[in-house]
Amino acid sequence: MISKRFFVGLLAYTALSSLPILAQDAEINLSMSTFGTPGLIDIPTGEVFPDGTLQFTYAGYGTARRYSSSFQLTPRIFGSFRYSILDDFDIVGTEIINRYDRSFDFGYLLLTETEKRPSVVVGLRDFGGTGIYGSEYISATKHIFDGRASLTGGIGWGRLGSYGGFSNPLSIVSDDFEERGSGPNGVNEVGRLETDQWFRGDAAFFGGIAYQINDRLTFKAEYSSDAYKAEESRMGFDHKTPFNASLSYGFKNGGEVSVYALHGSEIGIMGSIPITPQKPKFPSGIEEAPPTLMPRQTQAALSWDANSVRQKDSSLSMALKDQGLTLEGITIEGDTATVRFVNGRYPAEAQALGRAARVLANQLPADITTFRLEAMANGVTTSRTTLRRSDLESLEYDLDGSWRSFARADFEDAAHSEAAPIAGIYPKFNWRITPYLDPSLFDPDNPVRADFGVQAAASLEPARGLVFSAAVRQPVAGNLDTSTRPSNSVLPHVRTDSAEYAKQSDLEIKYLTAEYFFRPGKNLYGRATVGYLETMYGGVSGEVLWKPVNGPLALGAELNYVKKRDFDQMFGFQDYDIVTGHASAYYDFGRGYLGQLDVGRYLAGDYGATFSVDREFDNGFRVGAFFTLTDVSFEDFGEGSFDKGIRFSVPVDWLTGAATQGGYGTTIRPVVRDGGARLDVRNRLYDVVRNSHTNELEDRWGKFWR
Amino acid sequence: MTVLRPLGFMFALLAGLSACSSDPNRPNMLEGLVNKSDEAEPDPTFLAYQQAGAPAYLVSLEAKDKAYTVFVRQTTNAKGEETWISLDKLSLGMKNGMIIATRGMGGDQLAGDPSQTLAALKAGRKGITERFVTLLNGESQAETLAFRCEVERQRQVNVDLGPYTADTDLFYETCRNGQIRFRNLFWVERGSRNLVQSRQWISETVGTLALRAIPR
Repeated sequence: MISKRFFVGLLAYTALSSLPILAQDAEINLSMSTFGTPGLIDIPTGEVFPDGTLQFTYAGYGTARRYSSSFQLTPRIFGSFRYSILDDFDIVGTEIINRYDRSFDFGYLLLTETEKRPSVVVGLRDFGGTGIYGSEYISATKHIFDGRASLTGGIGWGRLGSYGGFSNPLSIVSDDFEERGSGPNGVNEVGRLETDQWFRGDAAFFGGIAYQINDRLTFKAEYSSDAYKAEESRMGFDHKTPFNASLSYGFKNGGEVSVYALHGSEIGIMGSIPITPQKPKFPSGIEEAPPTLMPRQTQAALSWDANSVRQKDSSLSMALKDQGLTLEGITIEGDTATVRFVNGRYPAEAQALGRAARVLANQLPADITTFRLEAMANGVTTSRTTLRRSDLESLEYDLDGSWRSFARADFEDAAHSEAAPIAGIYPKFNWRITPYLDPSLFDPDNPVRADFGVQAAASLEPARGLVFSAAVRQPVAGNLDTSTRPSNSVLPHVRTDSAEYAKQSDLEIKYLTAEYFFRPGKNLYGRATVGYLETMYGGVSGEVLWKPVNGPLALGAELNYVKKRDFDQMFGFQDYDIVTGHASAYYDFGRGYLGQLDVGRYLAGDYGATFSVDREFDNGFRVGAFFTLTDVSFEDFGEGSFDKGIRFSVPVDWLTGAATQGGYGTTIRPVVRDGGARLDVRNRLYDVVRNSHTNELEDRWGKFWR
Repeated sequence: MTVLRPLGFMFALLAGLSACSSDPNRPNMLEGLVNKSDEAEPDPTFLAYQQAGAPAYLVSLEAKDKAYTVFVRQTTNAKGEETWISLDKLSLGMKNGMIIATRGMGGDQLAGDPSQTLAALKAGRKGITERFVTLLNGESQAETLAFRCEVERQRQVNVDLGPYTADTDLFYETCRNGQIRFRNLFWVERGSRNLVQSRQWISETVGTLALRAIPR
């Protein structure tokens, strides 16, 4: 009569019940424009997304489609990336071709809404692309009728000043505002900040209303100041009226489907879905309960045998293994036990510490009162956490036990392990066969290219810190090799030959390396890698990182000598070789904002710097953006003018709730060129090391008692 | 040890293919997404305590049909806090029949303090109580909520526990804070003042658990 269905049922139930969390907010779903930003149809509203929201939107009518992703980086700032397809937009020679356009938006919330005043947003559309949608705006929105309706009014420039325009009121400030810059001349000028256009030229007013008919349906109507001039002249669009209207159906999860009438001539369809990184489906995870903390002098502790504990199959080792933890070393001196262990299961290191501590409390004699837990990554110790046994016993079900146990723990560096090794742990051998998917998103000819296949990976660790690893891939299906754009780069082709690598390879060696990780001193970490480092390069790579356990700042230096690999991705090399390397600074600003600066020499021999900022939620969900400026001129760089992109990664446990490390991530660049290209070596130290340092432990310390 | 795979995760979801590995900690990540109905391995610790005759509760998840399991008491600590474990490796923190923690349910209560309500139930009187609940939120942080609750006796109820029928008083505990409202039910045995049956709110994600003592 005992059923295992409880757990299964629980899963199914929580899967359903995670949806209505949003539904309890009585507010209307945030209205999305066809640009994937807060807006009505064409026009932007004076609203922003809830903090941290990641929003995906599709909008399209007959001859034009837009795919947008937006992210609310801070409570006031959002950014968007958009891939648009405009049919028959360009003429090359005698051929009429589609335009595949990438554009970025930026918005800043100037004022939040109060009882008396509207919220106000100032924004830039398409500020670094071809400028097809180039426009700037200031928009204000006020909710009325208990939030059931909203009124929007604003002023726009550029495209948003192209219908009903008047001379720019900002010309009172300076005559420079009267003329709008010409924008990029040809594709090589695309990607720069066209500041001579911003808020210049004619301006026009726009406005509109959104009205929530019932819990699900919203009606919107707007007067748009966008004349659709380019669409009229190139695509035969017929702009009959400045008025647009739409009807939207909102789902409980915040998603929305709309049908809209555009300027009296087209009917379009739009769909959008928000993702809230702060709210995974299973907030606390679905892994099994931790070991129960037993009173001291339990059977296990009474049968404690100090002699056999250094054996691989001791009861302590087995009990830790049951929790996904590998005991690598233990020393007991007086009332203190120091253990070194590898967490192979939990994404949150705090959870591994909590479980290890409970296992120790259940296994060790009562007179051992202090536990020192040494965390490891890639064979090196990364931190030592000291916990008092009495704190564990008193805080297990304490209302404030999470914070109290964190406050009472001590964290320090563990440059040298103080736990004597367990016999027989090394060599370690692991293998893994997985499907893989290698996407190339939003290239200038095709929004989605990808290869799909099977990857086999294996690693051998003959001794602590020394790792031999290899991965081979066999593509099964895909279209990465269909790219027909030969590289036109005037720089060494350090990245633009990627299609050749896809075309000329079959069974491919993704990497084949020997790595050595070591601790040169206090707060210092070292890595040496030799072999086939990544898809396109092989060689030697060395890195040193300075990162205190308790500080927000880390500094690193990396030096590589690499040779370009043959296109078949087997053992051969091409003629191109280069010394490349960077000095890096990493700073954790707190509240989830991470900054990184890398200065050095890139693969094409260019010198410069990469600026990155990431928003990392405590649960590991991460969204970021970066750009690189080097001494390669914008002309020589080619399309896009300089390297830039956005990246995101989603932890597996965020998706599934299961205690599994790792995640899925990708980097999206509007275009991949050869300037500002960095070597893609595996296991850079900062990300290897930081998980068990105090900032990260604190971020997820709620999991200590889970 | 964070391993970031350069996969477009949405596509990987669609692919739905499985993987195999030498590492039991990295079972099949995709399987976890597509097939959640794996049979749980029976917990030998649970079986040992059950066979030794440890006190037991039949527990069901109210919002889900046929979702039930059995918990047995594994231990009681110096503060009188008990840990109960289930066959499918979930656990409950309990104190005198009140749930003070859950582990493994997807939206766990890290800790709870229902002592004022318990006092009102034991005394058999009506009262306004404060109840505190610490949840583990989606950002892996502990978050403590405070509720104001009204405890009120409803009526006498006979509860059939199998071997005997308990003569109980049914109490309602109606709790609310700014955002959340829930009602717990307690069947308090006359004489012993033990909670023989109850219905207790855990979190918005989990909902409510119903517990019934299994007499030994």
